[in-house]
Amino acid sequence: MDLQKPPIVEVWVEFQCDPSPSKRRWDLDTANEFLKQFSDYFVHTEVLNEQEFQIATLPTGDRRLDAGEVRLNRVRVRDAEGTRWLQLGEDVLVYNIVKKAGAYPGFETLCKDAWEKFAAYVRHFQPTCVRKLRLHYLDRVEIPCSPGERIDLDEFFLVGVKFPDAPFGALSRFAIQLAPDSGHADDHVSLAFRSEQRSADAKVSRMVMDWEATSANVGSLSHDDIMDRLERAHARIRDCFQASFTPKGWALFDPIE
Amino acid sequence: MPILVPMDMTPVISHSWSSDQTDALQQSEELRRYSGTTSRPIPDLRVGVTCYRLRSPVVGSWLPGEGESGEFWVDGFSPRFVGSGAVIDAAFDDWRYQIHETFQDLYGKRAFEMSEAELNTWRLLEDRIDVVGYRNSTPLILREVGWVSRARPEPRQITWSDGRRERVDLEKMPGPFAAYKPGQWFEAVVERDSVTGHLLRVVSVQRVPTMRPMSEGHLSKFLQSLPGTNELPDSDESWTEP
Repeated sequence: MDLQKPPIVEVWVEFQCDPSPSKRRWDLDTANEFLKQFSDYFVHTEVLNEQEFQIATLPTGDRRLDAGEVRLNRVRVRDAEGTRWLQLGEDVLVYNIVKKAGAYPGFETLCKDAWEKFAAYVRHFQPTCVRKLRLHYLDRVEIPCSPGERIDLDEFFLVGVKFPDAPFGALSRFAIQLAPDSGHADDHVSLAFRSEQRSADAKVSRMVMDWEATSANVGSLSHDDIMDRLERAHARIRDCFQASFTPKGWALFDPIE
Repeated sequence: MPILVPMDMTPVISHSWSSDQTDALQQSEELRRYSGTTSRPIPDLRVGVTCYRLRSPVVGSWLPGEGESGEFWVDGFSPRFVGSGAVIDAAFDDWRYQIHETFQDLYGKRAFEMSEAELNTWRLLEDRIDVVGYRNSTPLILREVGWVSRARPEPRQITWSDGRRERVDLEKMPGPFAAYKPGQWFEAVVERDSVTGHLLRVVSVQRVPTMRPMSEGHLSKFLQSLPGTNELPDSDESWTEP
């Protein structure tokens, strides 16, 4: 499946782990200790914190605001161009590739780079195993159009939702989520399919396809086991993606014959 | 499934990974765990100390372009406001600076002063930004003149030149004020709550000479000394005919 114009915007692999029994407290120092080894390449850092607030109404009718502690959700580092991201959460490591000018480097590169970072994570945090893997593709499909033009999505997509013309008429926006039964208890694929705003010059109608393949109960730290599950996840998304388009839709990506 | 490409942008759905509205908790957990780097939740919009509260949180999306620069789109604000930049942070900054600049430009205008395009832009901003909230939470910054009418016991008391008396907490005053003795006149830059008029803080103070109201005689003499229209030169020019 070689496409000259693949619709990929972003792809990432997420490793969710079972922690080491001697796990350290999750905080910024712990995160920085791990991430500093990549600081030459990942030059920009973002810290995502979260805090929970509860508002209680007292018997007097007054309200009391209870602020929970500020907790570290994620630390994200990225390269200077913003095309490679590494995210560290509590028992979670995520590696993202964002496509910019030029070609998408491909699944093999994603796996190789992600595994390199994950191997460093294992050496540092010594998790007992990978509990869950997530492979995520964010695709943006652009259909050429003109302002006010009515596009029949059935001409481009084989996935969608049916509804009667009357009284609905034409849709201005839509968002649907599909979770097909994969037949495997531990492997799932889901698709969030939605329309997006038109381009500024209104010459393109944008549709977003968020693909996520989840592999649960991986139960291993072995390269072969993890790659095997990732490849299965990738194959499942690829097959579903390919099956989602009509020939006219497929032609939008300039396939190489 | 026919879809109509809208002539003007009319957002009817919000961006989220899960579209299942019946399971809000799961959705919130999904969003918390969402690992994408090309989406950015925007709970409110801040530029320095200026805060624009949004009527509801929005999500911005980064669209990498074919060239070096990409676009930052936000449901409801785009395509009128589209950020541009080489990375998501730069494009997000460009987007919020556009909103900030446009808001401040239009906020200072009355509706009849706006062009049709400006009016449409203002309606878009008003739909998404709590303008009344912004007005009410933005302090009034005033220049006021007064004197220290009491220093002890705390809190100190100021009598402003229009006769208002106000107790002030040293915590809200700049350092030099602490040395001012009763009777000291000063000029101050004051921040006041725009709804209640309560003193929020005094930004700066400067000693000024004692000011006293003029006596009736002095005032009358002063008013007489002001130039009047009878002192203007006569002219043969007509003001109504060319």
